[in-house]
Amino acid sequence: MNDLKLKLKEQLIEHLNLEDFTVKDIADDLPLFGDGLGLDSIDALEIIVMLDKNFNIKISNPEDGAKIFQSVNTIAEYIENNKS
Amino acid sequence: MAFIHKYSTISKGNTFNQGIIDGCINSKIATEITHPDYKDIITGINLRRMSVIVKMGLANTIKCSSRNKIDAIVVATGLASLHNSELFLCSLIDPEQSILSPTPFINSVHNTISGEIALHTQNKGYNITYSQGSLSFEGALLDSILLTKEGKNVIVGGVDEVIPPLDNLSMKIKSKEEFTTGSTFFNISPNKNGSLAEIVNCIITKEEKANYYITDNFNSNEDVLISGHSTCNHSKKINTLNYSKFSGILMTNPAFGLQLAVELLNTDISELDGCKLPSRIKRVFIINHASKNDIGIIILRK
Amino acid sequence: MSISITGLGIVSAIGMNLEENLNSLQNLKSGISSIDLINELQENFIAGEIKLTNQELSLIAFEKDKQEVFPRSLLLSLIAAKQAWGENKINPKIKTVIIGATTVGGMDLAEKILEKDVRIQALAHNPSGIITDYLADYFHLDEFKTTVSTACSSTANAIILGSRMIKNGLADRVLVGGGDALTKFTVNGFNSLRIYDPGFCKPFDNNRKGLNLGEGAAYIVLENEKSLSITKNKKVVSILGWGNANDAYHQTASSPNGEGAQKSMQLALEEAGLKPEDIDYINAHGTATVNNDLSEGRAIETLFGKNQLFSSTKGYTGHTLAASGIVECIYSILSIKHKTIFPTLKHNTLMPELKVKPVINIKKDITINTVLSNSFGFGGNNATIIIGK
Repeated sequence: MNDLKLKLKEQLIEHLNLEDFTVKDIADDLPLFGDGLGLDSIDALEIIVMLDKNFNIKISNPEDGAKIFQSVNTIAEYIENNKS
Repeated sequence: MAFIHKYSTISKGNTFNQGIIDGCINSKIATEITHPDYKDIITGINLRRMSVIVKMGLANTIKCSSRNKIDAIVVATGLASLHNSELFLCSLIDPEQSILSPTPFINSVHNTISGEIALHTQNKGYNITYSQGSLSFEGALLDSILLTKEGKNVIVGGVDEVIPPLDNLSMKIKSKEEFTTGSTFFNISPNKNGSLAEIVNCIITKEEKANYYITDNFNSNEDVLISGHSTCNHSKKINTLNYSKFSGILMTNPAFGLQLAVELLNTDISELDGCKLPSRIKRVFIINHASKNDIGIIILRK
Repeated sequence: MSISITGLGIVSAIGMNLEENLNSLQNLKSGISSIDLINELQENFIAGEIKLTNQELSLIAFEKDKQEVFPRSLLLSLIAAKQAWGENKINPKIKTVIIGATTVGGMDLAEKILEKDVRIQALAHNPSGIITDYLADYFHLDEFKTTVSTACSSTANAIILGSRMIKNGLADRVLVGGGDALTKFTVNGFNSLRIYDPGFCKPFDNNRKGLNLGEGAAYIVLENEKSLSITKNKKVVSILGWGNANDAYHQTASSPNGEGAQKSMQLALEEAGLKPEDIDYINAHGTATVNNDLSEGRAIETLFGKNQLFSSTKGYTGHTLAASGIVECIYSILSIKHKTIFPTLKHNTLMPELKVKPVINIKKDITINTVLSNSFGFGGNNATIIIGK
């Protein structure tokens, strides 16, 4: 699970072009949207693309993203629960 | 009516910090485009998504902004973000792409530059983008002149980029200059006080009419003509400075020419790039041979 | 200084000229259907497609067989511009300019090319300005020309520039408009943002899922009194006011309360010297995205109150992107001339957030003197025009 979270952080940094961040800056429970990291609705769509490409996880309703993408923890949990 | 108060260019040489005459024309190392450190200028997380052309336009805007309230943002771009257009096109053709990334699509939209400038500076005023090939900047400038007539302070500028495949293509016009990336922006207002120069006129016309206009108005004892092309009819009779030589070829480089003109009017200089200049320059004519028959003319005076 | 609209030209999914468009509007005939002419779309999209190939459009535009390949947006624009320009002639006493608008430009040519370098060359050879360049040459308009590119508000902004040029004496007559064809680029682009409804778009409906794109082009001719006295053209309606403001909220989305929209509408009212109660009908931007309709609906309610008559006509044509401003300006003119409000199609359920209700059934024999039309683009670009008798 920790490997997965590390991989997720690396991919978030790369896919969302978070040049100023390292994996150390993204705590497992850091809120990704709103007041935490400050990601927006476009980033949410990009995370959907990222999960599809890198983990083969498909999220058909972008509105589900609000719950799933709260933090690295919640994304990792979702991946674990939905591995095909 | 329309007065230039500030300018900023990102191009070959150290133009962002030193201007065009010192940073580019008189500099021996002006071969590469010099970007400022955008992280120093553009704060916040939005930088991550910005394309190069947005960064250039925004950095120039921030440099040009002063204490006056900005009422309008006007941007010119010939080809917008070629990089993002090509990225998205590529993804459409790639058979492995089952799901498309939206970022290159939204970044390819031509008014992303003016939109992002407004977003970052929280400017809720008039906002527009012009894209008329090599005459894009003249359109933007004309709207800016109109805006100053309407009493508004304007940030106006041009930006274009080159991506590697464009370098390789034999689209070079008569001159030997390369396609390049660059951006020049201005702060223009209806106030003469503290201004650097006044825009007298900005027109688009055909070659024949342009020749008459220049012949009727240009005075070689006190005026300077700068042109985007090294070969032009006027150069036989008139000592012409070629600005494309320094900016490189990009559709919005008349903006670069305009900044050069402002600098010429505000610098004590008798000669530039082998071109003799009048001792006291009254006006500068910026001639843009946009295409084989279309000419853009901007006239500037102190 | 009055600004008169004298010439009109339009092609869309509901007609290849003004009469055909009017007919469809009056008969509630939508032009939205499965996309036939674009190959290799990954899903079955529906859109307001003009069911004519480029060859057929070329024949209409040039009235003869032309070997040369043109961008589809250029062909649509030329057909519409010719209709609008009509019998107008070049006259040295009438300072005439041309202002075009497009989002897509020549993208349809580039997206067909598989080889990368050649594709980029096609992009660079067909910048947005080529359509206006071609039209300027075609109509011998040798002075000022430009193209506005602000996504969905492009033609609205083009009309605003034309009006301001006339108001400030920089032009006597303006040929203004724009066009956007359907492309793989835009269809997939909006789908990647998850705002493309796989079914019929439902503007201002609580269950709306997004837009359907459309293609089209439209042009109008604007004239001042001096030009009118020489051309003797008949005024159709006047341009009374305009406004442009930036939402500065997000790269693509509108602010929840529609502040930018409120501002552009407020500015247009001020320019026209009108009050909100003077607006008889609003042709909304109404794209049917969750975001736009809430934002715009709130802005309309705040400024005009809950009894304001408004509708979205995008259920007929789809969202014609850059052309939407001018297409809807022309539909607003038809509303005035034919005393009819064309309804918001496919509407079932009101939005609980709004007290103001869209017109969902065609309203005939209603006197309409003044119409306000909105067009909102990416980059927070909000443009509003007001036309009237």
